[in-house]
Amino acid sequence: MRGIVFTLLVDMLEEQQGLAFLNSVLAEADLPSGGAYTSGGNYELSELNEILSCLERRLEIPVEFLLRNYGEYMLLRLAIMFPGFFEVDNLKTFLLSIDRRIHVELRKLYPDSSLPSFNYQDRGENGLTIDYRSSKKLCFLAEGLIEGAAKHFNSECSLIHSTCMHRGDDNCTFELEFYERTE
Amino acid sequence: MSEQSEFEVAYRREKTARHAAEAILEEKTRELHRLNEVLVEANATLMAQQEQLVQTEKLASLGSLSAGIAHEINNPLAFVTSNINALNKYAEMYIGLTTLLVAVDEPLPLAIANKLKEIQESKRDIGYVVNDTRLIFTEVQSGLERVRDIVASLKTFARTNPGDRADVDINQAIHDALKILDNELKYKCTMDVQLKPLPPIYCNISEVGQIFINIIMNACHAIGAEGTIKIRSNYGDDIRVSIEDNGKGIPDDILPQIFDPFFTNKPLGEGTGLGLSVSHGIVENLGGRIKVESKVGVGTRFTLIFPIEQRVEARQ
Ligand code: HEM
Ligand SMILES: Nc1ncnc2c1ncn2[C@@H]1O[C@H](COP(=O)(O)OP(=O)(O)OP(=O)(O)O)[C@@H](O)[C@H]1O
Ligand SMILES: [Mg+2]
Repeated sequence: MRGIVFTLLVDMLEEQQGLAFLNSVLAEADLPSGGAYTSGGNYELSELNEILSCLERRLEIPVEFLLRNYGEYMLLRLAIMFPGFFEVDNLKTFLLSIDRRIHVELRKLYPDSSLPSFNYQDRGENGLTIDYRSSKKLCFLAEGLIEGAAKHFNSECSLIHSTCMHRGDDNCTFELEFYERTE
Repeated sequence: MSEQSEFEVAYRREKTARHAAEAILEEKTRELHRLNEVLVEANATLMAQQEQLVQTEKLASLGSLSAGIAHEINNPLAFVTSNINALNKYAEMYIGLTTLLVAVDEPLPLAIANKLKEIQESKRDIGYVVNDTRLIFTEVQSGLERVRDIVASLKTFARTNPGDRADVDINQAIHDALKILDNELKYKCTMDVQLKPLPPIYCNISEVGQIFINIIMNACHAIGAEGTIKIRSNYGDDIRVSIEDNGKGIPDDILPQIFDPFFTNKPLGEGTGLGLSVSHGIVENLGGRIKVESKVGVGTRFTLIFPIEQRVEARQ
């Protein structure tokens, strides 16, 4: 797993819970890397799961909530780091560009990364269904990323996670509905 | 400041530095990737050019070789041909004489009469000899024609003079070729010809016609019982003519060899394997190139690409 997933998580923990909390989590979790992450490196998915279960215990928040929360944070940081990917008209166009452009470019740049694959079903102007497939089963991270993207584009959208690999389905399905923002 | 906060300040500074370093790494990675793509592309172009060069080199050495060979063969060929033609006439005279003799029924001096009787009794053999003599002459003459054609093809490589060049309408050359081949094509090939008006090319029309004859004949040969040959011409940055057949196709393993002189997979005595190498040489001389796409069992498309600017250079 690419280092950026770890460095941003560490940044978030430090910002939201403080340095001392971060230090103790990284000390408690069993991390071959010792928690010294850099975005240029690659780390085992198991390190992410270690950190997450440690957080679950400490904060008494289920992993899926943690991942959602992190996804949102991650996206807002990605928007600062890769402004070029966000130069699109609206949320829906952005979501369509993930599998068709963003992850495609990243795959070229980092052939060793293993990115998820999306299948889109366009349901007209206000609807979009995304099938998510990944051996990493990080669908709750994806949910958070989508929510973060909605925030970034200042739009509102509802998300129904109608099938899920964690419930034995072949893939996860996100049914999205876009609304005009009323405020 | 407490030691604790000293570390914290140092941590923040280091973290900012790490972020900066990571941003640089990201940018360098992108740059490296971009440059690598440029390199990969340049490498592909180089490889293609090298291949082209090797082909040109092959043709050039064949060119000087064939100029000599063609010259050496031409002289004996000329007297063999003319002698055979004379001999053919003489043979006809002998055949006439023999036929008369065999028919003679008058009393003759005994010795001659006996000899004649012998010949008359072997009348069926005489008939066979007469027929076979004629057949041999026909075969020898068509063999000589073949040798003459091959020598003519070899001379195209030598290209001591590029021939008469003029402004040529490529569509005209295609029509000429189709007219010449009409007999070969009409029974088995459906011709689908769509030509767009083209700017003229400064070249030798009979040479260019030769290219189309070669490629269309190949297409016709590749087609089994019957099939379709599509010919298209149009232009943009350059002039493009495509000749597409739905014949047997060219297997990947022989594709790299089809432009080689004397490469043929036609049965012995049917193809010289010069058609495509001659065509390649002519197109290249005009600054153009030939592209082939083929799929076994589906068909083959040859695309001839002639530069338009070439006219200007060629005139100088
Ligand atoms: C600028 C936008 C984005 C960038 C630069 C980006 C980049 C990345 C990178 C570098 C990874 C790690 C790959 C690895 O571990 O080998 C990743 C993973 C992932 N990305 Fe994106 N991503 C972006 C947007 C999104 C969005 C909006 C979603 C929302 C659905 C998404 C869904 C995921 C998921 C779920 C993963 C986890 C790996 C997996 O599930 O297999 N990404 N992304
Ligand atoms: N349209 C085609 N479809 C299938 N094979 C082809 C086609 N054109 C060329 N070839 C293959 O390329 C070989 C070389 O072609 P080339 O025209 O140089 O020689 P040839 O046709 O064998 O002999 P000739 O000198 O009589 O033209 C052919 O023997 C044939 O195997
Ligand atoms: Mg041929």
